[in-house]
Amino acid sequence: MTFLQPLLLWGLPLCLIPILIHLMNRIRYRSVEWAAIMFLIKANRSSTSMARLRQFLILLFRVLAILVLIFAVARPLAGGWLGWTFSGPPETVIIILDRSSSMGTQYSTRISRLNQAKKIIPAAAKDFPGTRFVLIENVNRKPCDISSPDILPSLTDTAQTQTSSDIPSLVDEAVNHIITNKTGVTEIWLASDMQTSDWQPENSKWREIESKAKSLPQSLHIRILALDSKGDENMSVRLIKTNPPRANAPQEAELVFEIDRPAGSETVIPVTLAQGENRKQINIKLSGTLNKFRQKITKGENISDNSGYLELPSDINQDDNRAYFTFPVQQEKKTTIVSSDNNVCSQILAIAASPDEKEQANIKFQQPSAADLIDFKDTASIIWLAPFPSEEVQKELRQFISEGGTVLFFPPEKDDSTKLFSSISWGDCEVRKETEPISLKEWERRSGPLEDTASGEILPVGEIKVSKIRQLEGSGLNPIAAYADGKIFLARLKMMGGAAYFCTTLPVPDWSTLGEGQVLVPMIQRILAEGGTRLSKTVFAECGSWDMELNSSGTKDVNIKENKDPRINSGVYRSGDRTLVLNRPASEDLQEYIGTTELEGIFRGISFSTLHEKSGRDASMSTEIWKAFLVLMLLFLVSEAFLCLPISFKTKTKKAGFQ
Amino acid sequence: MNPKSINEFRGESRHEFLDPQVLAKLSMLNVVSRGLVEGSFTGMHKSPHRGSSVEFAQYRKYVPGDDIKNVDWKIYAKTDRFYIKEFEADTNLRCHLVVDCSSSMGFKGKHGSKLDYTKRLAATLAQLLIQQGDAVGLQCFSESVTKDIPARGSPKHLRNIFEIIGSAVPAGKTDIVGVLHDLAEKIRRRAMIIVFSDFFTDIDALLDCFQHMKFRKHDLAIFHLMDPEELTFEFDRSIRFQDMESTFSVVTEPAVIKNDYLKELNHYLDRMLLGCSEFHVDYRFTNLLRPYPEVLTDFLLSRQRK
Repeated sequence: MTFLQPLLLWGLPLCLIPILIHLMNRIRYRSVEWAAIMFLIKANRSSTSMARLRQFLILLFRVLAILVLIFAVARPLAGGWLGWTFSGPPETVIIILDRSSSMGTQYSTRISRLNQAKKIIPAAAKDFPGTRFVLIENVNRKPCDISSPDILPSLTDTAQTQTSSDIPSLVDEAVNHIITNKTGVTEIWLASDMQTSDWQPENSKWREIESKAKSLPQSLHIRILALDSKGDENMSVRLIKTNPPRANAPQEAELVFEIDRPAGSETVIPVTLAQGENRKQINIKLSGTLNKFRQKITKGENISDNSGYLELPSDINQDDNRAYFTFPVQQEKKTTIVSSDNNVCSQILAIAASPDEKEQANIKFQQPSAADLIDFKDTASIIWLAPFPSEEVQKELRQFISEGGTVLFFPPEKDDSTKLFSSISWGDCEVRKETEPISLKEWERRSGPLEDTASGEILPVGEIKVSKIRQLEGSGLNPIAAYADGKIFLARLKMMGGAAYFCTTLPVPDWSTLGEGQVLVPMIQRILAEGGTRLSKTVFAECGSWDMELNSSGTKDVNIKENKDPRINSGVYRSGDRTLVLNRPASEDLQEYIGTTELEGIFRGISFSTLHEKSGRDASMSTEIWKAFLVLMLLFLVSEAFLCLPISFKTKTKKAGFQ
Repeated sequence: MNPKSINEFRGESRHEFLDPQVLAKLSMLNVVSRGLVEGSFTGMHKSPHRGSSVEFAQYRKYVPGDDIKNVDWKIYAKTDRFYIKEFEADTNLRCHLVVDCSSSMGFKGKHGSKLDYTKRLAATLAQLLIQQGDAVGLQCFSESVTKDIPARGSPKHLRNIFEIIGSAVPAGKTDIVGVLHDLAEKIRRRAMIIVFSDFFTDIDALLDCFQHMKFRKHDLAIFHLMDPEELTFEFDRSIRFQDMESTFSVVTEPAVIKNDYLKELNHYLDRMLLGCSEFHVDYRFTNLLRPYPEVLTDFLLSRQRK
């Protein structure tokens, strides 16, 4: 238990006062000569154990009353951190700080969740001077030793961001740090707003963490500071779609925004549309929870004039009140399909890559043997429907991917032992009977090619039935979707600015029902769009997801006045000749939080405790409970007084004649 | 009463336990026995014997040996038979004041000790009895009778009684049961016996004594003296209660045992009241809180009505 005035606890020996008084009374009794001793002896003999128990209880209540009084004046704090004093300080504390966009939501005290966490953690850590503290936050995701949690508020790496958090990855990083550095008795302090999209309860990484934690030689305890205050009064705005200018109106584009708000009656709010130096106020009529509206913008003379933002009136979270935009341009999705012949499979993939007939001009077919003739500089994405290429072509592919291109590999029909990038190869082909096709069980819904749609609908990935699978072997692969038996359906190999994707089945009826299109089309379109950014001059991306490592120093804020860090702040940036429009992830606007049941599912077999910080009033892990102690003291005193009521009132010398 | 006697009585009133004003008030009342008593002299109390008096009792047949002067000749003239006319014999009262002088009678509360209170009661009664011509005896006891003055009716005897009462101090244990049994046997003639004590003894044995007294046809009255502190048991902290008649002591929290103490006391008083009623004992519960003249007035008035 923690106390704000711990020095007053030196007064605890005062609890012995009633006992001492009792003993002194027993010793320093008054002597009285008594004639009616015969009644006294009988009364003393018949004094029951209940009377002794009553005396004991009186003494106990007196001791407890003083005890809780001392506790009350020492200002005790209650919360999920109870027990520290009994378990001893840990050797290492790994602080995981969620500084995602939603952590900017403010309490009624006008302090944000993140700042509250940065106040509470140092306050909780002050009693552990010998403990080593390590910080992991959601942007860098690298463990970093800090001298003391007191410096948390002043660190730039703990500032508010407009990114999202990948809590499973952060916890995994922490556990890996424990394993690698043999940190001894370790605790993980995790400060988060418990947003479901950040925690990803369904992520299979949690099970890996569980098995790692169980294999640790030392015990691991996770303390969760849940800053899950209600954000019922918060409104957020996001850019959900950009419609490039049409041929008949090349100077005019359309933006689609969505305003999310808690349920309420129909109302009109003023929003600010800023584009370049121009500011104008627009009244938006809101009728439900989700309100979409379209806004036309005109093309300016330069990038500054083209860029801007839509801003909502001030509320409890300022970070989600802006949606940045720039004048959209038509994105080129130049795609090359590498296939040995013009078969059904390549045709299906071509259709999936260009469902709009007008875009079919962007599709090129190339023989595998002539892969070295691919115009890599002018290609956004490659669909590879052939055995892995030769070493020379692989070098070109590696360069292509590193520069931001995407390649989607499908398995060859025949066995092939060629290795890609020296580590990845196609394995044996597993043929399943038609009566027992396998379906997909898990896939990454939060981001990537199989993520949920912008309107929140889930792709029917689970409905795909697969009869033939060519197994994928290699290292460095990040599974995106897996079959029911755990084998990989789709994997990603991230390489610098781009990525290589591997699908272990073909979109033809012999292999699977993937060719039916409900999953294939969005999957390929998203992979192509990811590669398309390589060629596009204008990129709309989620803040934090855009890889700035390539040339972050060369990235400049369009609006020089703000001069923000593009890795963590949304805004419009200029990187070379490209324009980056970074907005916070849409998932950060969701007001869905995980509860105790989900936490128990996540931390199966791992010791954890949770403190819910809902008030934002005090920079402590706990709330003061001195009032409760005073009430307790009153209860003890009332009980003591009740027991002290003279029983003799009940029995008197009854007859008047005896008076 | 002659002037000398009166002066002697006045002389005695210098004793602190005698209050002339109280005596003057109570002298209007007589100490009356509730039953028959056997005295030596003519007095105001009924005797079991027939004798000379103004109050006719009965006729009975003459038997040889009767004094012929008692023969009623008028009846003989009418019936030709010899009848003896008998009258009620009045006699004086022999009253024994039995005073408990054990240590427990020395219990002293806010209203003085029980023995001091007893001295006032006994001395006043003695004076009233002598005044009305009765004989008074005094027995002081603790474990046994320590002072024994036989019943006599002279003023000189009264002075002796006062001296004994005045010199009485509380000492020793009580054996009231043994003492009362002895007195029941020792006092052969019917007499009035007034016992002053706190009666802290086994109630069953005590009631046996009362039964014994009744069997011996004594008119027994008891003054049961108790201090208000003994009745209320109001103490606030740990106390070592030291027995006044032994070295035994009890250290206890009065608040803890108060209830049980009062229960035991009430039970004892109930038994006492019931037993006295059964054996026709004139029971006078005497709370030292009450002024002794009031107690005596009640006692004497109740006897007047009998």
